[in-house]
Amino acid sequence: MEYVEMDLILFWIFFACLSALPLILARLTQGPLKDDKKDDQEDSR
Amino acid sequence: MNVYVLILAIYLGVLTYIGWRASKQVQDDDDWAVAGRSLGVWETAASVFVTVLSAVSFIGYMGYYYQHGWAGWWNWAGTLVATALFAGFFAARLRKFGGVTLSDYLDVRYGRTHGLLAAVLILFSTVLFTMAQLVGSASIIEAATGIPSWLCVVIIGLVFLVYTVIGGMVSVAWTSSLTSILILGGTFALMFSVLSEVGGFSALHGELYHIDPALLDPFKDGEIGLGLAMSWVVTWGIGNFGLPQIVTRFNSAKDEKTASYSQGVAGLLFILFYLPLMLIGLGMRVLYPGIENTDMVAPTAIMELVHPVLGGIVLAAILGAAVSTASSILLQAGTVATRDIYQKFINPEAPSSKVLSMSKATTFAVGIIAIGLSLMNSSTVLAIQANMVGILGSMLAMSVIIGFTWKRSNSQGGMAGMIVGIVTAVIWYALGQPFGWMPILPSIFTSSIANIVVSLATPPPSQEVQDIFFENNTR
Repeated sequence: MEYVEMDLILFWIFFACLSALPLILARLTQGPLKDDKKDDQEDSR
Repeated sequence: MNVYVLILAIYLGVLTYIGWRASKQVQDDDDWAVAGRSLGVWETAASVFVTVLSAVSFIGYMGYYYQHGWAGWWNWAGTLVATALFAGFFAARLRKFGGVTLSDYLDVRYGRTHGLLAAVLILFSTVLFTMAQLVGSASIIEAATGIPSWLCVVIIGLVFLVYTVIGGMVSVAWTSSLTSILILGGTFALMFSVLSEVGGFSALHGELYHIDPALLDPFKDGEIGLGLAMSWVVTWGIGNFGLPQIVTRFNSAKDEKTASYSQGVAGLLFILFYLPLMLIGLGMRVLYPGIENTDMVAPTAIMELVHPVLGGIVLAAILGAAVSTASSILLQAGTVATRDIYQKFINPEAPSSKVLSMSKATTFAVGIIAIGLSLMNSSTVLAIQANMVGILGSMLAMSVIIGFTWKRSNSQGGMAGMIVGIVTAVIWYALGQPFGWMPILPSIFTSSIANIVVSLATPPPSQEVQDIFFENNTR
């Protein structure tokens, strides 16, 4: 059973990293999302 | 009245109401086709999420996990790869280009013939894809409620046809948001029911280990080989770039950053859907180990394990996955036929009001044809549609990827890549899919090679085209 549980922990870590990858890539290539909103607000003023 | 029928009727009623409300927001053809390019991160993410998911995602995939255990995860790994590629690069570039359809892109990047060729194939495929969703969802509802399949096809078909025609992309975006919540809620509720029946997460894996330790192995102890695993990853990781209903979703986002971030959110939505779905499939393997037809795993879980109200909600989620995909596809039919064929080749001066009414009329006609074909239930048509994803992906995916990443790719190379891609796919089918590889896998290699070799042997694309896509890539 130890093998099974260790295997599953690795699975979950792997899935967590994989699911976060698109968001990380969006952040790296586009910068923070919120800055744009602030800019928009300033523009509208 | 059957509880399932009541909940499904309420859901269909809500969709129709949303379509009616959305129709009030539609002022011109841009509102209809791309929601006025105004969608935020969540709406764009939700529309991609429900477009990718279908009735097959629920029924077929749950059965696949039941059969193969954790190794089944390879069939959605490619979706995450595509999502990461869109988030990191392509979503922003597609949005910045600023077209409406996939043919728009091929037209500007490679030439009018490329755009027209793609438009014709896309138009043809929309009928088949819509039909697949109708037939799939109708058979599930027939199994659960006893309503004849033909009646389900007519009712479901008319509901999504009406809300897509009157509300266009605005309608698709709003219904997608609602359906995403329904899908995630339904899947999680079913997962908790199954896990509580099994005795929890650890008990589930302990039982699976006793049934067959290979069910916990990422490759099912060698049964799912690297070739098949990569075939899944490439089919969806690259093939999604050839599906117009997905790549055009970014054109509705309000800007490039929104398009890119929407894919970050979509990645989370996918994992929040697929992991519970896997756990349901695995739990069902423990609870009902003798199900031979794996397509019956999902209906068994719904009808045997949960309260009818919850079962009805899960059924509505499955129906939602099907109609959302169908409406996204149907929207393509209207925009492609009107903008890529009528407006570009027949009447370039057509006013916005004329384009809008033609788009609606075409969408309605394609929807009616799809409903009619679904009622015929022809095995030949079903066989063609089952292979259509591979054919579209084989022809178009590398044209999108290479076109955005390699400046030197030109019109001749693009055409060579498209033709070689589709020919390879057809030959691969005819050969009976050697090594168990799906046709898109060899097609990606052959179409890339054809695109590169022919492009290098012919003059580079014009400076104007290079500027649009690689310097100041706005239109």
